[in-house]
Amino acid sequence: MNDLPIIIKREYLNRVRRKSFLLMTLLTPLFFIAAMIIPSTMMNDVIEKESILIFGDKNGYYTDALQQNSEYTFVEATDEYLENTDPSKSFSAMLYLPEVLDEMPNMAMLVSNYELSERLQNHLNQRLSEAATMEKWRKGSSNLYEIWKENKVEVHCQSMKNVQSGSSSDETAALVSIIVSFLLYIFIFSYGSQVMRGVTEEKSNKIMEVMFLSTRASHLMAGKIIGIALVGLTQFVLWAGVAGFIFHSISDHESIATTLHGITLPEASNIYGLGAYFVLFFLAGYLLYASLFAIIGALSDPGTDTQQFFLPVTIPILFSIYAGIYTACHPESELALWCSYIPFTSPIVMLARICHNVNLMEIGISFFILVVTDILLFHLAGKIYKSAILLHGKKITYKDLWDFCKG
Amino acid sequence: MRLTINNVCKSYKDKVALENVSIQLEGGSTLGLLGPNGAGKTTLIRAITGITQIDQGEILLDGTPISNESRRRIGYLPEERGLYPEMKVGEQLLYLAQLKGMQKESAKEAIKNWMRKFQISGTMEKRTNELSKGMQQKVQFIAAVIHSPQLLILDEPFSGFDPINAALIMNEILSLKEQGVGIILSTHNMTSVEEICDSVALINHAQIILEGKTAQIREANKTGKFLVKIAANVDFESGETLSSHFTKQENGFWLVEKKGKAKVDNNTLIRELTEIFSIVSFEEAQPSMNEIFLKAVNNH
Repeated sequence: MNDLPIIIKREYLNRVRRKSFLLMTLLTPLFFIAAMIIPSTMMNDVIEKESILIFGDKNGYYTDALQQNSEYTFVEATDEYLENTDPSKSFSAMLYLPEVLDEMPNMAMLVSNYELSERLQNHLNQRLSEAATMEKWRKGSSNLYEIWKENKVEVHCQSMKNVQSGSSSDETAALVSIIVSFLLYIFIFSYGSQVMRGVTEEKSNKIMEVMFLSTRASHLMAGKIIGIALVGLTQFVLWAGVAGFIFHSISDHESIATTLHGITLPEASNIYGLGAYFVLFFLAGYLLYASLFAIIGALSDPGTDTQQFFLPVTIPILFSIYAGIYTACHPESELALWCSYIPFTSPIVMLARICHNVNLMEIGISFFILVVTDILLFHLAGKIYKSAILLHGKKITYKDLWDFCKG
Repeated sequence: MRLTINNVCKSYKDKVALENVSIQLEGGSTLGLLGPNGAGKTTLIRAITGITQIDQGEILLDGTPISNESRRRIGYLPEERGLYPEMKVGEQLLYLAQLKGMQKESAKEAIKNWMRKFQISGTMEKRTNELSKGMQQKVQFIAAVIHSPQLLILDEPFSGFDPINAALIMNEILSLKEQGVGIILSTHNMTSVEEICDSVALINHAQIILEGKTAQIREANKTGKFLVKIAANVDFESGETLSSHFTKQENGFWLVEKKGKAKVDNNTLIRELTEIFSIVSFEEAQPSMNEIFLKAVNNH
């Protein structure tokens, strides 16, 4: 009789029915949304309090006009000032004004390293329009009322981001890359450690001896790993549904998009493709780490120290997340390249690279290496699990581990 | 069902756990597995269930080595609790029954019957860790017998039970025995051994030092002592007949011991005593299993 489906069913239902699963599933998307929106909003607030350096305003007329009763700081870029200060460090943006703004109102240019708020831009346009109109009146002989009413200068600052900081799409890719790397790390680590906790729970209780009469140890391990993987997939599908709904809502909602600090949302097709890669690399990465965590669980014993086995497993996964974040910003680096082929880091790092468009062949090779490692490790974990799960009260050494591997 | 254990040996690095252990058990009988702590009882149980691989010898169930398939015909109640603490009782029993190869519907029916029998039907939806120790033990017992095993191994089945529930479990064990189940009972509770077990095997220092039918063992360990109650008080404390000594005890009882290794039958003994006393009752003082156990272990 094939008892594997029965074991998978128990492992799956036992977890998805828990209140903690429901709470995590509902609260985590909210946490992520809050984690994205709150810092963006706070950054906007910070930026609004920062200063803007003004070039081209030789007599300081426009600077004075902008500065009056303003919550922003405007500084005129005099030669003396520029000699003593590094403008890139002190200012959030630079404003270039033509000598004759009243005659060339569309030549004002605002340069920043990031998207500035609409509020600031409106403030600039309004104050500059007023000042330019006054300047126009001063130069001519027309009646101020007529100029103000019929011939008012409408300044419209051209806004552009500093090209050195990368294009908008690169930034988006890096951001998406960091998010998916982090998400995958959380998935692999949390579900992998669930396998370890489950095995430890069974080992600390005589249930393993009862189970041993009903099924094979390898079936128990496989059932647990597959059941927990299905829990992860269920959570992913639920979150993807919520994320999809939010994604479609914000992509049509300009004000929220602005709040997200100028992030250009990726194309829907890219998101679905990324989702598919996420699932594949989650499953393959999870299988690798779940096998290792199952081994640690089987080796654990309340009376003995298993830290010696825990550390070698956690170090690569922790390194993966750092490598993944580095890859998000430097997708073409050698570290990114190597780590996307090494199976212990490839799930996270390759996914981070995929956000920046990677050759399909490279993805295929990385995935193939990962799957082969999965199979070998799963087989090895089965051998160790079978020997170690019923061993109590003895400190297991690396030599014992080697004996278990030999079967 | 026939369990045959032939010359089984098992050693760990620095310790011999089982040395040439041989036991036979037929269906419909109960074997008491006795021995001091650390004698090798658990190792033997683990060897039978296949949890521990033996170094030498053979363990056969109905003449064939125990396989993954035949292991399902064994029911096992471990000494410590072997249940998922967070799982609901009904789901847990269904899970274990299905793993033993039972169909879902028949498993549900069997669970209902057993729970009704043990008066714990109301705990079906409760988590195991919410139950009292005694109730958990009942659930554990049901988990061991739910699939109608042919061989049942019970390791301290009465632990955690009050006398009423212990009697309930004892009746079920006797009932299973009558149905033809072969039962191995590992316990320190000698009263239960005397009541349930047809035969015993006493393990000490990895070896079987005493084995056989309970009645035969008790017969073989007779001490030649009798308890005699007399009708009236007498003014002496001890005395002797041709073939026995007697000493006064409490409440009108006298302890009568046969002299030397004299092979005197009980009728002769009574006849000699009636010349001195007016006898109300005459009972052979058989050694308890506990006394036999202690004597055997101390002499080993």
